[in-house]
Amino acid sequence: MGYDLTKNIELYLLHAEHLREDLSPNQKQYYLDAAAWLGEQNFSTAEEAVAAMKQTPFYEGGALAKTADDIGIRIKAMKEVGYDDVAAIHQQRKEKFDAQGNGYVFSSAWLDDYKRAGAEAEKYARRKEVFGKIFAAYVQITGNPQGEYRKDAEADITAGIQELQTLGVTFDQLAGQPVYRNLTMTTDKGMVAFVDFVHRYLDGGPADTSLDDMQEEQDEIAAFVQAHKAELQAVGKNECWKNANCIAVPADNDEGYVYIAEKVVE
Amino acid sequence: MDMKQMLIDAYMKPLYDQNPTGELLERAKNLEAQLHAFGDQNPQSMDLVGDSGLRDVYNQLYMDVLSGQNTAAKAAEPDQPAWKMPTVGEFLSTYRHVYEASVREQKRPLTDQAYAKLFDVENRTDDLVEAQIIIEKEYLVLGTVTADYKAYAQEFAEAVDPNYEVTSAAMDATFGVYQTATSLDEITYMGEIASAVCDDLAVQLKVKVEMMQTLQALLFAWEHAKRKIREGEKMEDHARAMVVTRRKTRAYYRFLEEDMGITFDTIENTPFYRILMLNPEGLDALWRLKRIMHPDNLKAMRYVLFEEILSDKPLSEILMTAQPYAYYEAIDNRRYPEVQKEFLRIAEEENRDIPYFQKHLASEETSTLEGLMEKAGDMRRTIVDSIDAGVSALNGFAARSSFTTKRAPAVSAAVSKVIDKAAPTVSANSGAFQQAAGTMAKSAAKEVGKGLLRGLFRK
Repeated sequence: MGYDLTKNIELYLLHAEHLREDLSPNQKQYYLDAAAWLGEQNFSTAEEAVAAMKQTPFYEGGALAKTADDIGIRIKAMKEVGYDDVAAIHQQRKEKFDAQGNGYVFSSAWLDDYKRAGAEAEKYARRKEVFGKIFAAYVQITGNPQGEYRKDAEADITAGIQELQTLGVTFDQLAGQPVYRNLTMTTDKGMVAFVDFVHRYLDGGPADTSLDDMQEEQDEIAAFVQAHKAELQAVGKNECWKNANCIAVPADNDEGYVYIAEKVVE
Repeated sequence: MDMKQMLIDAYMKPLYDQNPTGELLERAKNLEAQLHAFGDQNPQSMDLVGDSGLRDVYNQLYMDVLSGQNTAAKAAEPDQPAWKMPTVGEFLSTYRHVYEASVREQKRPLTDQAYAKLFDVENRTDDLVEAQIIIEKEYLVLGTVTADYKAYAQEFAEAVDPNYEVTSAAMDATFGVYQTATSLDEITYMGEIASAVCDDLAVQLKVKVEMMQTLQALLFAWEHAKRKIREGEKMEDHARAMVVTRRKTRAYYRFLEEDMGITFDTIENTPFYRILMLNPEGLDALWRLKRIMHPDNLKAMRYVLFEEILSDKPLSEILMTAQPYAYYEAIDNRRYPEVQKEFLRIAEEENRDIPYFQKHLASEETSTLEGLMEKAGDMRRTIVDSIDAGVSALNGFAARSSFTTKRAPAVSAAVSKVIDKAAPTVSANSGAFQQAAGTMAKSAAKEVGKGLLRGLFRK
């Protein structure tokens, strides 16, 4: 069987086509360049092709491009999720690779650096979990300002702050970083309120919402309903106070649901 | 399976394949003996080279063997057979090795089919480059890793409520990549961010559910008190309670609007929030169908929130004004147990053609929202682990395929010492490594991968 150079070109171009420019720029370019180089050659056997390629950068270039993109993907991904410290480690890996090539890849430093990046990512995950727990507790307290309903949430905040200390960071350090702030989905004002709440909590805790100032209003309305009992019940006759349930079924409409099997009882 | 022997074979094969002799052969044998001794004393180790501290020794020997320093061997064997292009079968042999060593035993039908399709390339052409073109065009290597995950994702997508973020969000953020990826790099990228995305989702979903449940509870408390006043039941107590509810709801809505950027318009226009405001209860294992309060309650809630609670109207005036929209409280299951039975029957009927529900019945663990969120958390972790495993496996495949295809024109045919210098560096795999969690694959597999690649081009 004769050697068909065009097939190799086709294979290279296919590889380039399947690779995304934003994720695999080095490999994509490698395949395009290699295809172009092949297009200028005239080999009659595979052995001749291999021998010629050995004398060019293309021979090692594929693996080098793959490695470069592999590191690049991790830098991009870590920046995407806001893990800047991890991205920095991968950037160091890139610089070492750019300087040493496969010498770095074959060294123990390659895996050590990779593990170091993984360990740093784990730190982010743990800190996010604790920060998220503190925020969730804050949200719960916001909905239940009275002390009797927020004891568990308060305990979560206390435990969370302590855990951050064991992780070697403070609440304020995390609250200042987008990767943790974005976890909360708050507005700018909301983040200020959250941080302020935690500061006040650590300073001795915000006071329970007192009901004392509502006493007068409550006494007034209680007296009112007592005095207008019949009229209030008469108003109810113009309203509908039944009980009902139905089933929500996912649907491809604006509401996202259709409702079936409605049941109404008195 | 003797795991230790398999690991050692994977490390040593690429060295012995180069036919080292003399000093190099002695070094290889010594290294092998050391790995055996270490493995005997540390049976739990899945990274013999790394854990034993012999990585640099291995790497140096590897490079010495491959770099042509084996001058004694050259002198002793002047008539080495000429290099020949591997056959398609030889090219596919490494994939077969992986499949037989670890994939087949997992009994995943779609993955088995994907491998069968890959191996069938040998029956479609005997031209190695043509074979690689087929594999690339039809994404056959990619398919061996994504097949089952794509099927799982599709099955799951059919079974969940796409609006109900508790179950759908993780899928949307992670597994979706398996449906559209055309390269290993895309899956690698997704795998890198999947864990972070899922961690965020866990916190955010909890907060979203908490917010809607709290607002819904406050508005229910308001309506419930009004109803009791209308019915003449403990009117003074309920009226006092309305004063407290009004204060709390005003504060909470201000928190939602100003601190979280969520208004009632946002709630009505976001299906997930809408359904949470109707106090949903799951009617199947994944809460695809849900028992909810009457959807007209949202009109009532909007009215009481803006026309009553947030307004400046005195409470007395509010109580003397008829509410124009009905608010339906939920049906009491103790009084009307037949309603829940009917709803469950209807849900089962609605879901009967959905494969997931044919395999999974409603269970206690997801009968509550807390249980469902727990299960969803487990599934998110499974998704991340699956992507991680898929990436590790693919990296190995990619190492082989890129190794062979990058060396064209005959790169597909390139061989031995020459290729050694440019060995792909991604973690490769053997069957054993595919199964192991994180630690082993990323360290040991790297060295092994280079060897597996070389194994393709036996002299």
